[in-house]
Amino acid sequence: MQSRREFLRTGGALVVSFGAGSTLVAQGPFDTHPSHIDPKKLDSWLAVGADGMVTAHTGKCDFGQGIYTAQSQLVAEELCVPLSRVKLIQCDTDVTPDQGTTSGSQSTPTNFNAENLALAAATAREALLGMAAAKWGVEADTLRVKDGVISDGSARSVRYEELIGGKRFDLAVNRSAKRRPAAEWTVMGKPIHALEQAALMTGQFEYVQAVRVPGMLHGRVVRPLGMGATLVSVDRASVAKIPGVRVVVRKNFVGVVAETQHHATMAARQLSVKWNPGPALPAQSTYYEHLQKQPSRDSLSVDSGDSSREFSVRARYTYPHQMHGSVGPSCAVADVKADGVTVWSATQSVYPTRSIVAKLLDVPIEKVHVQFVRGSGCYGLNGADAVSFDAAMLSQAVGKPVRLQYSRQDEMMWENLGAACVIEQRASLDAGGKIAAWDREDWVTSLGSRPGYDKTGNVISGVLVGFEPDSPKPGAARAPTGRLRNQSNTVPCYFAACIGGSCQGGGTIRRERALTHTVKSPFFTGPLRSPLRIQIHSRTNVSWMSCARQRRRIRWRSGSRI
Amino acid sequence: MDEISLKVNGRRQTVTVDPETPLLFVLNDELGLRGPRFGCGLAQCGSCAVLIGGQVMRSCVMPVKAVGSREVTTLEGLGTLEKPHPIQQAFIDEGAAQCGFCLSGVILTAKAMLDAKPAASDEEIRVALGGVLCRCFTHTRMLKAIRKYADGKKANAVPA
Repeated sequence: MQSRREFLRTGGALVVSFGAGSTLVAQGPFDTHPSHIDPKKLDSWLAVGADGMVTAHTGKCDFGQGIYTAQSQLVAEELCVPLSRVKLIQCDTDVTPDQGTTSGSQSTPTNFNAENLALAAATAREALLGMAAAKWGVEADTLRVKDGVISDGSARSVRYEELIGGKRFDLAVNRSAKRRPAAEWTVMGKPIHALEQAALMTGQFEYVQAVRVPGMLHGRVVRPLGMGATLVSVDRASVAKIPGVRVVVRKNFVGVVAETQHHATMAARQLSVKWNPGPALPAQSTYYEHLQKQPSRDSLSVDSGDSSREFSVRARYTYPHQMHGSVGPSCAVADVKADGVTVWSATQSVYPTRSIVAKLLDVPIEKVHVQFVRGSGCYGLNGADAVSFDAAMLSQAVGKPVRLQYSRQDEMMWENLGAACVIEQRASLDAGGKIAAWDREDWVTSLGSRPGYDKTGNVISGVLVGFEPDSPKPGAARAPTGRLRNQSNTVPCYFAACIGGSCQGGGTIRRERALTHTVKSPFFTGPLRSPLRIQIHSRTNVSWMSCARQRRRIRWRSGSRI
Repeated sequence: MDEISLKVNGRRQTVTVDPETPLLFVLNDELGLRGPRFGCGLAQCGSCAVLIGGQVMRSCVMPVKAVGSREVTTLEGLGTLEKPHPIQQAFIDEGAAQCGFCLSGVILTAKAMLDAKPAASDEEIRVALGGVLCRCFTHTRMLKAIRKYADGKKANAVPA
């Protein structure tokens, strides 16, 4: 059987010609880190094989939202080839450009608008038309292309693969390449089901949970009961009777590996570990009041500067921490060898994950290869990053490839939860019943988040081996900039009758303030589609708008809870 | 370690495992099957569902030694990529998956239910699927696919 890497190497002869090697800073709003694959080069994005198959590379991955299919459609459309002739490779640090994290609904703007994958495909089409034009001594704009065949309207025609098949373009991505106009689309804009549906329904689809590599062992982690706990001792004799078990300890990180999942699971359950517990958790019954009393990092989105604190209507909203609750707990496979590290991971961020793996294992980043393989549905920062780091640490410790499967408990206790928050809304109405004053104050929890390229302590793996998570540094708010930065939707759009602008006396509101207190969370927090945004802040703002304006009719009680 | 003989998806196979090993791990690790998947490990979500003698069972909590002579069918045992089972085809036609991780539970539970009661009402289908979790909330499309399959089954049924 071929290994996965051999398959990539041999199965895609054209993959070898992809532009790896140079070190340049990636472009675009979400490409914030130097990448070894130059996104300015067309060959970094796509190639046409000798058989006419188009292989395209993307740094935006599909975990169920359909972006694999949509990007395949994009490439087919811009290149004028049938969808069945496009093979998309997503998020693999050996071959795809660094496009940061697949998050924030940014994959479409990043790859479909005026840059990146869309522009690469358009550049390739224009280049191929140019080659055919030169071959026939005619102007490129007299030629037509359909299904990867260029023709001049008479008897002459040439296929893409006859012009470029298996060879590099050696061109820069042309920033002014013309996109196919929507009116001429034959692939995009046509509703189709996700390309992997049949594989999903027949049980053939390869999730990261199904990745198996030769010589692979099975791992489990053994976690403390709470944040801040430290390891006192591990009694290895407690699992000595389970066949083939090895215990791995690194500072406060404890894991086991065995030849079978059954034995690894047994060992994780039976391993006797003593912990010094961390600080006690705040009482759940008074959790929100507790949050409101914590030291906070304050920020003002908007403040009209009027210090009057009198309001005729008030409401208080509370929102709990929420887990992502992916149906399958996170899983990853790592193979740490002396000459290189490979991690098969469901991370949304292959390049950042590569960087953190390099830091955790203390190996040069160039030696780390992270390949995205879809996991169970992901709705933000679930355990996918942490399990990849943990798998790499286990593999390094035992010198064999390790598949690490989190238990349901591991995932629920230690994933980065959605942030809990308290939101207080206050308003006053004028004589005509219109909102004249609006004061919005919220308390939002924060600890850790996406690790990015260097914040190793932002998830549990890093903290257990001694890194610190990002946590809010208490401090007073600086003056509002005067411009409403409404990224977290904390500012009611009604304040200003606009988003991202400023009020400047528009509307009926004469007194306004939006103040956020960020307080340290007792649990890891991170993006979850996404309490800081649409689900919570917008909803409370919209709900409040309706309630405040109906005050006269519904006799809103001061301080009442919703 | 014991030698255990299993009939899975129509093929008889022998594995050498600890007889207490959950059937799920045997299917995934010894037989290389991808359909049943580890979800909760507590028989509460349905991701690991398989058919055993026509009944839906949760393979994550069932020791392999308990299977005995009954035949095991996984999601990949129903149909193939080239020739999906009609219920799989109905799910494909309705695009009834987002991440797809839960599909063994959804499809096998619906199939077993409709095999036993071909004229099941929508309400009965919903009740049967009550213990199967889908975190992507693809339920509406799934129920539509199941209804489509059930209607097709009725239409094709040979009158007794």
